[in-house]
Amino acid sequence: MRERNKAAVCAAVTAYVSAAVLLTAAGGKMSAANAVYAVFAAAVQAAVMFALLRGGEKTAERGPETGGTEEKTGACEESGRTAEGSARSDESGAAAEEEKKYGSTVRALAVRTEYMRAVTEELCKAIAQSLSSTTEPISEELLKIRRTGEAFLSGMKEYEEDIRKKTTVRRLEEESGKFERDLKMLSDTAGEIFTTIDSRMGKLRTVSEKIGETAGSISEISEQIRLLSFNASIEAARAGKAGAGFRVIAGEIKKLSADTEARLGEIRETLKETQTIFTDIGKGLEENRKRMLEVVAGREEGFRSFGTELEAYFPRLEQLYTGITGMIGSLSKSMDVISPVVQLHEITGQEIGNLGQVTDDYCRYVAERVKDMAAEKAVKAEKEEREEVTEEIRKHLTTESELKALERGIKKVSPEAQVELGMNTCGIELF
Amino acid sequence: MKKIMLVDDSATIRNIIRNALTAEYEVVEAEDGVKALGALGGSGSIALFLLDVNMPEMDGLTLLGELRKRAEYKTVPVLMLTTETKEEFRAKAKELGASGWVVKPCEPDKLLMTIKRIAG
Repeated sequence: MRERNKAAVCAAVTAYVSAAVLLTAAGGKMSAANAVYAVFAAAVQAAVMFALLRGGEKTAERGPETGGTEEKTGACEESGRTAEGSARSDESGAAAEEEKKYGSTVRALAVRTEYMRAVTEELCKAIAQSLSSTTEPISEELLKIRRTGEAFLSGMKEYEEDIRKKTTVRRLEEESGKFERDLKMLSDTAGEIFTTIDSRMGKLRTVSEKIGETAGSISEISEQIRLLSFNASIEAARAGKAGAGFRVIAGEIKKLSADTEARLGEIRETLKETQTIFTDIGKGLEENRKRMLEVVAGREEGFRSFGTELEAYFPRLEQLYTGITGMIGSLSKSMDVISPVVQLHEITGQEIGNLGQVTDDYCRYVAERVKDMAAEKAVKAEKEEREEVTEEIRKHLTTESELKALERGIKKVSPEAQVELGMNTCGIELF
Repeated sequence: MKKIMLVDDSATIRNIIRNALTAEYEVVEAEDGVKALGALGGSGSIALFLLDVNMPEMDGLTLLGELRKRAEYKTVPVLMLTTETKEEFRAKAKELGASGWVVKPCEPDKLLMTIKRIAG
């Protein structure tokens, strides 16, 4: 009884001290590792205290066991001395009885708790170390991202008003609108020129056909003249007094010559027509050329101002482009740095969950042992207890960090222990 | 674009892996084995599976076993992407027909290279 009460008082005091440590940590005077461990230690001690106190209540309910009836002595002193001696032997008997019933449980709990304390201390340290090693790089990268963003925005501030009011964009839109209208006018004018030329070309075709026909007639005539000359020379050879044939031939030659003159006249007229057509085309082209020059001259001022606007705008566009690509590059770099760290952070959350399962198991173990307190279960050898607790904890753990913390914890209690972790540390493996 | 199915109960991990792969592959996601099997019907042809081991409802090894029972997924590459370092899980995955084992945290570009090697 005294032993159990002592244990309960010790557990209560330890729980109180642990809570006080936790409050100190909350005031920022303790590291994250120790704070996490302090919380766990308080929970474990409370579980033990509860189990032990429940065991005490059950003993109280059962009451003291009694054997057969005892005979009372006559005299008071004698009865008092006998009673006192009898009470002392009763007490030591009861103590031995309780030691027999509850000792094995308390011893088993002590061994298990020793290993649990060491292992969970190592697990908490590993978790806290992971948290601090991941939180810092993430904060650093977030700060970098913020600084990059701020630098970009301050660079753009100069153009903020312009961008907001879209002044330059509107001017460019205006100028490009005018440009479009003028282009249309130029293209319409060119179209008209081509239409004019086309119709003139039709007329030229007709004229050239006529010239062709006339040229054909002239060559017929010259052929006839050749024949006649030939005939004339023959007649001349036969002439003398009979010159009549010659006269006929001469008459024919005259007719032909008149015909030729008429044809030549036609050709002259046709050529005049052709000249008129070419003059018309020339005039038309000149007019259109003047119009186009007027339009271009009129646009020159517009083009100059458009060019000036663009010249002023391009450096801004370039700066904007450089700023954006720089920021995207910086963000990508930050994401590359953050990515594995964020994974590690996420994994640490999983490890905290695993630690919760380990402590859950331990509390269940304590509750079961206390329930079976009176069953007088044999105490296992420490090696067996160690192997059992190692395997029970190991089944909840997944990462290399956790398994190594388990090994460190077990070896803290039993430095000579051989701990089989069954760990695979290959990063990427293809089967 | 070839399709990859990513099954992991952590939204953070899914985000990171998706961002690493999305330029080269279309990524279909599920948060546990049951939802993964449910999503298979409407997903079209899957070129590779990326499975976490420890998940609620149905863990990665059970899901791997289910996939290998189906004719259309019998030979599709499966990479286990997991925090699990216990050898017995790795051995079990190999026995069930996994193509590889990747321990988290992993560098996204190394994972992408490995996937390209297997799935093309």
